[in-house]
Amino acid sequence: MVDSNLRKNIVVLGGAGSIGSRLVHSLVSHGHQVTVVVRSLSSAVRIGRLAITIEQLDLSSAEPLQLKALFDNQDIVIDCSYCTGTDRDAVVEESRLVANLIMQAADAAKVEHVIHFGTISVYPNNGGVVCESTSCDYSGEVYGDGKLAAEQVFLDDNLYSSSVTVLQLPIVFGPFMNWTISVVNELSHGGLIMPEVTQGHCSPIFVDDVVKATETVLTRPFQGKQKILLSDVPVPWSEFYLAHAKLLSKSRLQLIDRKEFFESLEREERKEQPFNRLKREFSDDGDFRQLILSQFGIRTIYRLFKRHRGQAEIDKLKSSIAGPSSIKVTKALMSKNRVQLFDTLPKIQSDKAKSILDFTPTKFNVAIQHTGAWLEWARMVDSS
Amino acid sequence: MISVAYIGCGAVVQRSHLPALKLVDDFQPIAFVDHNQGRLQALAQEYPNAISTLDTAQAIEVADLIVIATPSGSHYKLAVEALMAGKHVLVEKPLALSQSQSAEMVRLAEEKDRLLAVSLVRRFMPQNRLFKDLVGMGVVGEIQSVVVSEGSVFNWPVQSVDFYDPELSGGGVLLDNGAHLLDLVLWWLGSTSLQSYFDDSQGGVEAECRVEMSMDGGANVVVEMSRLRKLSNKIEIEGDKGSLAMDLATGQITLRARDAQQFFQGGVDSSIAALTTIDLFASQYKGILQAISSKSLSSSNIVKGKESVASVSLIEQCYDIRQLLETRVM
Repeated sequence: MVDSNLRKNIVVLGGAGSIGSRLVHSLVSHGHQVTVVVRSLSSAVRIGRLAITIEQLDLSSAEPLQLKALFDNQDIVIDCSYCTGTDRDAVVEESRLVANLIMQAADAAKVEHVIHFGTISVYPNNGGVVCESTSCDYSGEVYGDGKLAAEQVFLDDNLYSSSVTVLQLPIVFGPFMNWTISVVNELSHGGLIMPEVTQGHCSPIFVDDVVKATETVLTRPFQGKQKILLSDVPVPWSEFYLAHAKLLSKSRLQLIDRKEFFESLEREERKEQPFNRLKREFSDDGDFRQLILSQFGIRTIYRLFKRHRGQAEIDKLKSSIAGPSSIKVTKALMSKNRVQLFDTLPKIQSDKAKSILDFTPTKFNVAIQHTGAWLEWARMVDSS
Repeated sequence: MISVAYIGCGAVVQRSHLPALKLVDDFQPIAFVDHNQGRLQALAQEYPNAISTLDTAQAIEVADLIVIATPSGSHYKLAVEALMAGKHVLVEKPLALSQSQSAEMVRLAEEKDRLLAVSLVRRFMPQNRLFKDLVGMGVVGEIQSVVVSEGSVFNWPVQSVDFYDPELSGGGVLLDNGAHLLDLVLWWLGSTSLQSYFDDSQGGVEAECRVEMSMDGGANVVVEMSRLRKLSNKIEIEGDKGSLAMDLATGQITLRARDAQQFFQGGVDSSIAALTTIDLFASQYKGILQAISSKSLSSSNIVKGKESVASVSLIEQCYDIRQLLETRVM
């Protein structure tokens, strides 16, 4: 609990997300008055347990006055929101619009400080070294470009007067984090094969360290605009995966020589996968299926099959399409896209988080232990 | 033709009640009441002959059957208003928030000779009926322990912030899922007494809870529910002669004799077990038709208000003795 004179009225935008929920929980436990703005009420179930005010608002279609009314009498705005979509230009446009909306409302309501969660993805993905002064440019990648468009609005001294801190986050892992869930999913169902060496850098940060850094910003008076890159001590990607694999009841990770990995990947690509065969069988069977495919896509159809027919029948179907070998549970090769991403992520070299926020990250092995306890609680540890 | 007024037109009405009504003759939606104008406009387009209004009294006046699907905190007041007006009432679960409210609603329905039913459709699932029969036959001998666990990552399309307001919604996973699950547990096992209750609410509505009860013979009953994680979704009963378990998601039932191999694994026919929620609601409407047409106001396809008083009372007791569920990893 913070001293009563340090207690703030805080509005958290996108506070039902994976990082936002954890942050909101911590802010409430420290005695702050929190209002959370969410797009989808269904996702607010984690924070719905707390004594907070929940408001439903889609920022992309909100009116300036609506947001200003929410910001009135608030000391701090924390923006964990981001725009989603597949059309890069639309996401950039919407990100810029929402950032302007937030800053206009913050200025009008005279909030003390806006904290925005940015990302390392705004920096060049060339496996090099980055710090806050590294120049950023649009890359064509949807998420990074959307976040960059927003960041440029938040950090522009000439546009708005409210003080802003942009906390740029690398890979965030831990309880409820998508990175942890996706890695555990990759390691499940037979396990994963990945190259023991990747060329890019992995700078994972534990979610509670993001929360801690955000709460430190609240306690440091600041005027102006600043951005701070948060990072932990880098670990190789193979170690990041291995640490997660060890949390599962059996080791599910096989690290192999990089050259051997790519050769296996090539061999695999030449084979027709059951999924592709299913797609072909559907596509070859008349106009109706073609129409359904064009409307919904094979993945949706596959998911519907799975939901309505159950896994056993899907396995039978796979078996009939691709032969019995297709249902053998074997380790899967890491996807090419994933390896390409890991080969290009930059190394973070910045001491700003340490000097400004006295940021000391949790030791990686300790953070992994906490993550393991959560996986066990969430019953994601596969005992088979 | 029975005219129906829907008070509260959120997800359960749009996803289950109205599609089910299309499968049953003899019912006609005549009025919709909701505070969401967009929702009312959409319903007015789909049902041009029905009135869409904010006026509850007007809707009650024009209909034979009033379906109450508002946040739980308002069920009692609206049901009393409808019964006082001499209308039949179907209340979404839970019937009410307290034993006293439920008893008053039941008393009023009897006094007015009107149907008061609660939408506990999981009782109509064939596998749940089979499970009740197996428990009733005493296949496991004397029951020694019962563990029930139901949880998944929440994805219900919540349409109002009232859902997270404990005053308006009345509670979280205990009230929402527990209205079904605790009703089934009491229906299967008979009377139990509450020992302790834990949930994770810290001023809002709980997402996780644990109910600890004991049966008359002394067996412990533990019920866990979650909106945050996938639990085993099973009921497991241990007895002195064997064990009986059911997968709550698939309806698969397993019976094992003590110190022997499993001797039964199966369930109801898969085509029956695969009944959709809409099918169950359609059965419920057929049951309502039967009940209204009979003097006893009864049918095997409805759950009458007085049958759910025990589970409402159990939920009320849980909240009364609530202790904080410590979730270290959250």
